[in-house]
Amino acid sequence: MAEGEFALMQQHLEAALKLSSLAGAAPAGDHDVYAMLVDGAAQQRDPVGLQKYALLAEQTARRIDHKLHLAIAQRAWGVAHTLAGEYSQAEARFKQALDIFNAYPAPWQIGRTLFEMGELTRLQLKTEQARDYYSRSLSTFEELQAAPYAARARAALEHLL
Amino acid sequence: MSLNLPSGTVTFLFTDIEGSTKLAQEQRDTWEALRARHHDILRSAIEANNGHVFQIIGDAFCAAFHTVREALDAALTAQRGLQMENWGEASIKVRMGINTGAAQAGSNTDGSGGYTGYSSMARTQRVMSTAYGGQILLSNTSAELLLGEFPAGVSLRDMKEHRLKGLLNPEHLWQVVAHDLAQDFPALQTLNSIPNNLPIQLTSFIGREKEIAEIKSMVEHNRLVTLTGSGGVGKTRHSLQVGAEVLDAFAEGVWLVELASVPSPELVPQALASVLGVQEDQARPLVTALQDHLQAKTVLLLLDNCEHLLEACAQLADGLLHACPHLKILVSSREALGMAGEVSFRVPSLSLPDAQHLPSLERLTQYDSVRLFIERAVAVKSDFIVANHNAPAVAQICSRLDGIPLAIELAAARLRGLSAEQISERLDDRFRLLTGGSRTALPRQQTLRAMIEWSYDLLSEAERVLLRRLAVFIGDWTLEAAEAVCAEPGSSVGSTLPAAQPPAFGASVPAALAPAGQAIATSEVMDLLLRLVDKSLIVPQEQGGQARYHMLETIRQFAHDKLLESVEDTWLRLRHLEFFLKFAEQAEAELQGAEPLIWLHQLGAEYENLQATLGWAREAGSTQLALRLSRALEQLADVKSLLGVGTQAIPLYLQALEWWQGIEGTDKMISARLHGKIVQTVVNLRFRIDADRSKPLVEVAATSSASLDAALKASENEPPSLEKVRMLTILSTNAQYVRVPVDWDLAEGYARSALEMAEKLDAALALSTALGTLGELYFNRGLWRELVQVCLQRLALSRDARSNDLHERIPALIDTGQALICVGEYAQAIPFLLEGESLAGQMQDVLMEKYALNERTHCLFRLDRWDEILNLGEKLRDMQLRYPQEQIGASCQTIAFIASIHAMRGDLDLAVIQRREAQTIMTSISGSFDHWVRTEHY
Repeated sequence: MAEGEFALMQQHLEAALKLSSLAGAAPAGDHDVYAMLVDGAAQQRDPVGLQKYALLAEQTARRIDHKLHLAIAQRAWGVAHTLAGEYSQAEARFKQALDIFNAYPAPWQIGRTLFEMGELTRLQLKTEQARDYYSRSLSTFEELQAAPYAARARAALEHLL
Repeated sequence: MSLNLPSGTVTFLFTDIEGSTKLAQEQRDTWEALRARHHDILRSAIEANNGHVFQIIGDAFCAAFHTVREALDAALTAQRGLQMENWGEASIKVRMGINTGAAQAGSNTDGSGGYTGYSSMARTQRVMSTAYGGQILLSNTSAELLLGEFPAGVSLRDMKEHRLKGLLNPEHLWQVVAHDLAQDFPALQTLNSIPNNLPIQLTSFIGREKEIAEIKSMVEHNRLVTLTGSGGVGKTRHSLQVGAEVLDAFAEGVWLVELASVPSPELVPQALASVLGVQEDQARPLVTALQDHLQAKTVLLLLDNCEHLLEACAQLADGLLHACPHLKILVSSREALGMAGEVSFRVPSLSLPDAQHLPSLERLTQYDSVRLFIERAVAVKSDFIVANHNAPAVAQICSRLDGIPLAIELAAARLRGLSAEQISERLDDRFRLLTGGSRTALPRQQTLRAMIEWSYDLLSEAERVLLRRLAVFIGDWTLEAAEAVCAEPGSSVGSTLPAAQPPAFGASVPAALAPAGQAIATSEVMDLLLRLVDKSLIVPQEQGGQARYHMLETIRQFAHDKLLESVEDTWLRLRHLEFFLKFAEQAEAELQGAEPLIWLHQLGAEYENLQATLGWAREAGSTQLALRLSRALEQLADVKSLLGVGTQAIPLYLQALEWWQGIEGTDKMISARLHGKIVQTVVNLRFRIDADRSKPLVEVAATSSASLDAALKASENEPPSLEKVRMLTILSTNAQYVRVPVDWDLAEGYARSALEMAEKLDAALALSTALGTLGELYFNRGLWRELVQVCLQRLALSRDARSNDLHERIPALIDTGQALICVGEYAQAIPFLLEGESLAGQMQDVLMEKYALNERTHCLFRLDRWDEILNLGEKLRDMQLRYPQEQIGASCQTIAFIASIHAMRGDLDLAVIQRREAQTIMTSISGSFDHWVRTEHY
């Protein structure tokens, strides 16, 4: 996501939520919107956005037991904890997210979560674990032909060396 | 290389190394190096002269230039370079051909190909093939364009006209003569030595590559091939084109025998003898002389326009083919000869645009019918172009003239004094309009009427009667309908009815209207109909496993004129009315029966006839008829509504309502039912059309829902019924979707009342309907786990043998899929959506099919199954193109998914294109900003 795009996305999606409530509808699609918002904040490493949306995303996903959105919220929590230096909580959240994504399976989400776990373990100086996560992330992205993501994982691996 | 590629009028230079196969074998070790050097010389000569090499096949170069002079300079430079090169033991000599014509540079402009303009390029190929190594030949077109622009020391030598393989008309060729290049070559390698009498054509042959290839293959593998088809469809032109293209396969020639002007069967052998120069002789009959003449010869005979001499042609062909083993015959006739060993090919009309859904200008001008119109139009009005203002008229002309080349040519000729729009407006009177054919054409090809009259005059009296009576049908019809409407019940074969015989189908048809003259018995209709098919006046087709028949519009108008002249018109219309009223009444019952799908298809197929019935019946009305018509109107509106054209259904419902209300003693629940249908149709339309268009409909729905509510309250003490359940559900959906403002409590109240009543009834259909409405409410309120349960319940009911109602099952399947999506169970949703999509496709329910497909794409996207989505791309695009107004929001979401996949794969250009496409569609409709904003960031 390009710089500034998250702010634009926030503006649009907040407007969409407002429009839905004005139309007299129940907040039927709010978990969908919060999942997008929190995922955007996680990708941008935006602590304010994460703070604002992570809980809402988790609660609205749990309300209807929406597993994909719950996993997205868990991963976002993981990123928030990583940014805060709370590594063990981050790891727990990432693992919960990964379990759900694996159960679907949703390979792009798996690749992204593995990458986040690589980032986490790299910060913890667990180089071998980081290499393993990055490598698994890379092969998942390569299989999907997700070139920009694969390039990012490859660069992370090279940086480790 | 220049990026400014030649396009429009393009000069092509094609080259080829003479004897390259032999050279490659002889110079095995050095061939690749020689070929590479040859390529360098050619490429640098072409590119130095502003040329573009767009294809290299082996050692053959295909290059395009803006001007003939550039192509000529490139050819001269290349020949000089080749001449100066030291080729060692090899002798590399290159033949070159230059021709100018229409062609378009395609989007594939990276040097690997990408020109369209088959005719121009094929001609260049033929010119080049005729040359010898070292020789440069120009077509006459290129030579004319070159006049006055010769390089110093260069001139053209007139090589005269030559017949080239595959070209119908001889080509005037010119050789480039340069003092420093070889000038003297053997006689050109053309087909001039093969005898023939193929006439020069004054106009070009448009399109038809596929048909010509197919006919050539048939001629190659068979000895007697007959081209059939309606008048003016181009049988003769096909025959001549094939004759020209296969000329080199017939050493003793291709001979055209024109039979249109031969008045009687006994003159057929004479016509052939005259063409072949065979003299009649006292000692032997003429047919024997012909057999003797052709006995050892390899000849193709083109017997043209045989329909009025079928038996004589068949006899002659039979005798000749038995006696002459190397003879082949290509016949053109509106009807096949009917001989053993004959294979026939029905020449189709030219490809047509859909005048109702006009394609882009670029696509429009690719249809063969439009290409023909434009080419003939330019011939009479040199500044004629197809632009936005006249494109609809041009499409209408081509479409309403059924893509018949002769009719299109006659229409184009009218551009001398009328605009395309004026011609289009006057096509209802086409026989008066289209009369300006070429004076050199056969008399029957000078006017549209004469073209059809020629066929009509060849019919038997019974065939003529049936043809004109069939004009009572609008669109197409079944054999059963033709038998019921067009035959006199009880009449014997070939009998003549007395004028006063009473009609047998009902008291509403006055006896005096029964026709006098030739009668057709029911048992005769099938045979006569098939004979009209054989004579290319009726076109058969298969729809849903049922044979249906139609006339091309031009023939129908002609037949209709004959019908009016015959004074059978009123009699037939009443028979038509009677038949289709009965049909509508039967269909109403059958739609509730075991095979609703079949009956829905049949109703859809008869839509045009039903509509005509209603129009005619208004004039004849009586109370009894009004009652039946109101039902038929309602039925018709139901079909419209089910087929996804609800905006057309509402006026029909309103009309039916008005008729019912005008009938004394009408049951109040009948009016309530119609009000319910109106509200339901508006509810359905709310998802299909924009807010502005739906505004007046919302007002109609408000009035109707108030009437419906009042009617239900008034009938509270009456027993529950399925109809009442339906009305309650309609009121619930109205409160959710149409009512302003939305009233959830009111909607839930109606839905729960509907469910209670359905449970009392214990009827599957009623329960399913009520559950569907409750499910919608859960969906809209975000109670999605509850929604899944309701959907599964409803689906189980719709699969129940008691109901087995596809109209219920399709939404039940798709709603279940969507409910599962709502709770994130994507993989589980897919099978439901697939089944719904497939059934909706079978039912031709476009809205539901597109809905299911979009939702399935949603699931695949959430599961990161990107390749599967991209593989669905063609189907998605096709549905979007065909039904752009259906499911706009969901379609944009799907396009946005595809854009995201491209972005995630790093193809940002494609992603931007797709994203813009979605944005353009979305911003073209109002009231959907919310949806768009959400999809944009998926």
